[in-house]
Amino acid sequence: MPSKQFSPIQVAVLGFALSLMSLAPPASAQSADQDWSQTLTAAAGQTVFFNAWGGDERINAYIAWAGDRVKEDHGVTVRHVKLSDTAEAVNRVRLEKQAGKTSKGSIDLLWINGENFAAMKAGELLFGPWAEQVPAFGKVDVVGKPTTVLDFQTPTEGLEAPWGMAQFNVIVDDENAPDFPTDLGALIEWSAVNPGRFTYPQPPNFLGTTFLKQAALALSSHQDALYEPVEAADFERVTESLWAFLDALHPNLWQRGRNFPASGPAAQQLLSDGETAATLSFFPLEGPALVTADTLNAATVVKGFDGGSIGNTHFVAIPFNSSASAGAQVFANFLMTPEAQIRKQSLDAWGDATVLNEASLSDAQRAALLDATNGLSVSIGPVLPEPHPSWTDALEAAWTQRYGS
Amino acid sequence: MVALVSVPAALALPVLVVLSGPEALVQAFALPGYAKAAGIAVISAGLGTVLALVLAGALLSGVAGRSDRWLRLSMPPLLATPHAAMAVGLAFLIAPSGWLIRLLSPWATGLDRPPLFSMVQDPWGLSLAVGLAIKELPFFVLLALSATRRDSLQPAFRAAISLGYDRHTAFAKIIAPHLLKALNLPIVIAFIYGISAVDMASVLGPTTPPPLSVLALNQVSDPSAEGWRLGLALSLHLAVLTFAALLILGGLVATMRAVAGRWASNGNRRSLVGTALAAASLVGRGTLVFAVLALLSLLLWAFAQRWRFPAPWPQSWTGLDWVWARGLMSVESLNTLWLALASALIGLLLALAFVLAERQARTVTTRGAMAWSGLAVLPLLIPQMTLIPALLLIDLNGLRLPPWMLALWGHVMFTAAYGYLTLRGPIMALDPHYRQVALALGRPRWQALLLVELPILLRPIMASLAIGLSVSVAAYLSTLTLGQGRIETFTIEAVSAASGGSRRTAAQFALAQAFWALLFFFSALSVPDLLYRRRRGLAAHVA
Repeated sequence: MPSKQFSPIQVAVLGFALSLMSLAPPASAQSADQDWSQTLTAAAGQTVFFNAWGGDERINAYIAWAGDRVKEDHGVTVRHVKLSDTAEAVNRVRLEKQAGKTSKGSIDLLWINGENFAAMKAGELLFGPWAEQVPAFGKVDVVGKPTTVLDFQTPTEGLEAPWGMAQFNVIVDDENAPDFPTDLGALIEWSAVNPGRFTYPQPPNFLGTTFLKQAALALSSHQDALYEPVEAADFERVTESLWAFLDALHPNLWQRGRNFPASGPAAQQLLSDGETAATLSFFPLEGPALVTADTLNAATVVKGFDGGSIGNTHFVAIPFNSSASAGAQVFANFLMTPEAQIRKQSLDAWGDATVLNEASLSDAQRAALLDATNGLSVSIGPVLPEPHPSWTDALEAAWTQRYGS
Repeated sequence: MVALVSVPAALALPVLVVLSGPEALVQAFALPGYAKAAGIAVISAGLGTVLALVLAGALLSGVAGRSDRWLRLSMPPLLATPHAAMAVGLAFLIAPSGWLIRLLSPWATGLDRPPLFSMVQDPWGLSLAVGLAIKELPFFVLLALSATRRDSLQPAFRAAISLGYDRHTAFAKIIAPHLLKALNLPIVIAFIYGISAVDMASVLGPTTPPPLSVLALNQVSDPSAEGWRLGLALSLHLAVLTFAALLILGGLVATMRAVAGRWASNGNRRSLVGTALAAASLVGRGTLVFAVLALLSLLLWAFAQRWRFPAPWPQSWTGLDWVWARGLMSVESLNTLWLALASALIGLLLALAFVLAERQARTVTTRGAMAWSGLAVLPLLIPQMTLIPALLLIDLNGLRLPPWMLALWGHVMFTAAYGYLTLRGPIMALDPHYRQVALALGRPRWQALLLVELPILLRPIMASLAIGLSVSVAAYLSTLTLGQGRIETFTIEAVSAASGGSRRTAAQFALAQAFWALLFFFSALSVPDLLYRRRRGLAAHVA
């Protein structure tokens, strides 16, 4: 690759980025305010290309609404680039970095978490830190919801701003499977009686991988090892019970466990068609929201798992070569405001749980938040933290070796 | 053409070898399921191409010497439906909870819940092969129709009939050899498309393991740098596998041709092949009905709100607001339009110039002709998954074009290649006397071309333009990756909706996409009819 001279613009942007980095943590509230008003000034008139998965119409509509709001308030234009896979964008940023394109990158803001974030952080593909200096971050519940600053055990360090909370759950068609178990061990028996009526998205799809993690946490007698790097553990011993469980379960899954749906939505289509009786989800309000949208049967219930369900947070991050990093911060800030978070939690909009500390909200805002979900709770029992990220690849590889080839 | 189309395509492979590195190239072999994934890829693409070819031949032999109007008119809708949409429609038709079983349940099958038996996603990719065959069929039929219309073939066919050959045997002995020759390149292209494209494979193909193309795409989607390099390595493997399979295919065809030559001149008036073709012609018509049913079910889904097993029809309907929301005047619509019009026109001009240059060069050897053709269709010979990231890399390292220009360039590579494919036959077959007479009457070369030859060629030119338009409308990777996410088209929307798994949204966007493709198709094809209302004789000279 030819070495490249920096252009004056690149130097200016680099300087700007460095100056932002040196500002953390803010010296005083006053200078923070001043910085924010500078960011607002720089943002006005910018166009933010927000690269985010576009497979859900309700989420797309929500993003369009939020874009209209920041246009109104701050003159920032948001264009939603609808991805079918976030990794496509991650790889594009990597290509740009390899080619020495350090400014005017094609992506300004990215919907991200977990593995993708870990890869971008490790590859130094992110702009920042910025996320903890924008004003709306103040109301984020970093104590009660520790995953807002710890993404799959990777510290966010201000490189991404929390957007919403997720907790693993299962959406059950109560008419066809009133006795669907919440104890994973009992799932083997249930499937033997109801062959072909359950499946999970194929790992490395994140829902499928989370199912493996959830089962490993529930069944293994070496839980602690799952929170340490996988290299330090005796992989065979820790995962023995997981494979025994899957070996017994697979013959009675949908299509006898020979094929698996490619994604969460594909698995959802199977439930909606009536081929299966239950499907996995990461949003406790997704089930009720799909009933509201008349996609699922009215007799649909949402269940957590015995002993707790894995929970995490999803974020937005700015690539290192964003051409509108000020506008991106202004939009990300808006996404964390009570106004945007309340609407996001509404069943009519998206049904995605807030990252904010409810105690920091006004009475009216708290009432609106409860109203948004028709009084339904966004929590389905205790939250299990994500295992150490190194387990993700290890479990996926072992699964593919055993069942995917 | 060479600078814009062939050279960048030729650069793609070396660029990717460097990028993925030798280590990843070796590691790729060790991925779980690698061998079976490669097997599924070859079987489904090979079987799909052969099936499409046999069915196309059978359909044509059914209409040889008769009116082919119904066949001609039923092909464009099938050609214009995007692969992904057709896959979704087919899967819905034959799935355990699919339309066919719904129509029979519970009154005939006794089922009130979907059966456990499944025809889609079989472990060796046979349902995928059928899906590919259905999409390749119209491509072969349309190209073959123009090849069989050649003046010299029809009298020979009629003579054979009057000598007592049954029609299918006569077709197999007289028209089929010409057809195979004319379809040489299209067969290669269909096979490459089948083995490398993921849109159909990810819906109809098996998953444990998936076909090699899907395996490569999954791996390219790995966010870690090592995983990504492994994905690039896999897509290079796919390219090598494709070339190897094509070499074997070429050898088989050569052997078959030798055998077939002896068989064609053995004098038998009736033959097993003829009977088989007659049967296949029925299967071909059945396949068309099947494809139309799949399209129909897609149409229903576009308007369905809730539609659960075993309801034979949707239980509640959506409003029509989506027609306007995703409307005909939306950003997606305008982007689809300008990209298609610009890239199809540029591609057409490049292809035209290239074919005329090839004619001028008067290549006589097969090797020479192959070199010309190879250069023109190079972008189609490399799997898109490999070609597109390489192009982006080339651009990032030197040109830094604005996204719209890069996307347009990406589209032109494909429209020009398809343009060449559709124009070469008619132009080479054009009677040289027209030009000679014009030159003899003292007209300069350019006038002979512009005033005499091109008007005669208007029909194939417009057909080629129509194909270019639909290629551009359906392009996904080149729009997303080269447009760097900044150019929203219907296809981008349709594929991201399909990734969300919503059959309804996928169906709606597929309809919007097919709407433009069909509109382009029929308007391009009706231009010659309008212009030549009083000059019908022209049509007889070229297909």
